[in-house]
Amino acid sequence: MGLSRRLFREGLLTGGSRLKVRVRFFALYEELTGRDEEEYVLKPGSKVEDLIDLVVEKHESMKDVTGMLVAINNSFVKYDASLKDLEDVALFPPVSGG
Amino acid sequence: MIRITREDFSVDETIRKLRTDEMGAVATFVGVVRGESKGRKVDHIEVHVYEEMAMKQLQAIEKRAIEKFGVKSVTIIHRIGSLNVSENIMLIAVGAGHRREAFDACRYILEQIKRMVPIWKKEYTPDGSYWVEEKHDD
Repeated sequence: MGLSRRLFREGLLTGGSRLKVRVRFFALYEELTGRDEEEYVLKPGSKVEDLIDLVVEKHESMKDVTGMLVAINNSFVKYDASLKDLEDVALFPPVSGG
Repeated sequence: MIRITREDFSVDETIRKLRTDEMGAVATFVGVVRGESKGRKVDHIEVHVYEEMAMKQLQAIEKRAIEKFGVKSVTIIHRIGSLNVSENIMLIAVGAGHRREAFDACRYILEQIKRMVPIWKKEYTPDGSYWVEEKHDD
């Protein structure tokens, strides 16, 4: 596949008309969704909370979760953080290590 | 030094590697698998991790503890995978000039790990398995 075609497929040459992110699920959320990762396409300008709405819409098993934590590129973010194209977004429950 | 591992650790060996002549105190905390949880007998636990982020968070906690308390050296080892009752889960070792900063930094690191590091425990009991919901005094 040529570079331009690959970039187009990855959403880089679409004139900002869409936003694609990779969502990773951990622990309880991996069990509830039955997936360790999925791709979601959102409208440009979408925020983390919009993504969570889509995830819950797709996975009804997630509708009652509380205290969801969100990390983008390995750092915690708030629900009103803006999403960027091709970002890695991790969704997980409150931690219980130690 | 930060490590996430399936292998057990030796507290003595860790202290031996950590200690230097400038230290007057080494404080350690060892978390172990408890055989009971909310009145249920625990058979074993599984420890799950988002490793890439957990390493980054642990390194940041180590750096903050050294800056905040002026301690000389920090070691954090967290185990993952299936662990039986009484097995080690985690070790924090802090080497410092004096006992006060050693204890304070050790407790600070523990509290930070319980809030900030993407690691989860799942308990297996005769009634089924349950994800642990951490209370901050556990």
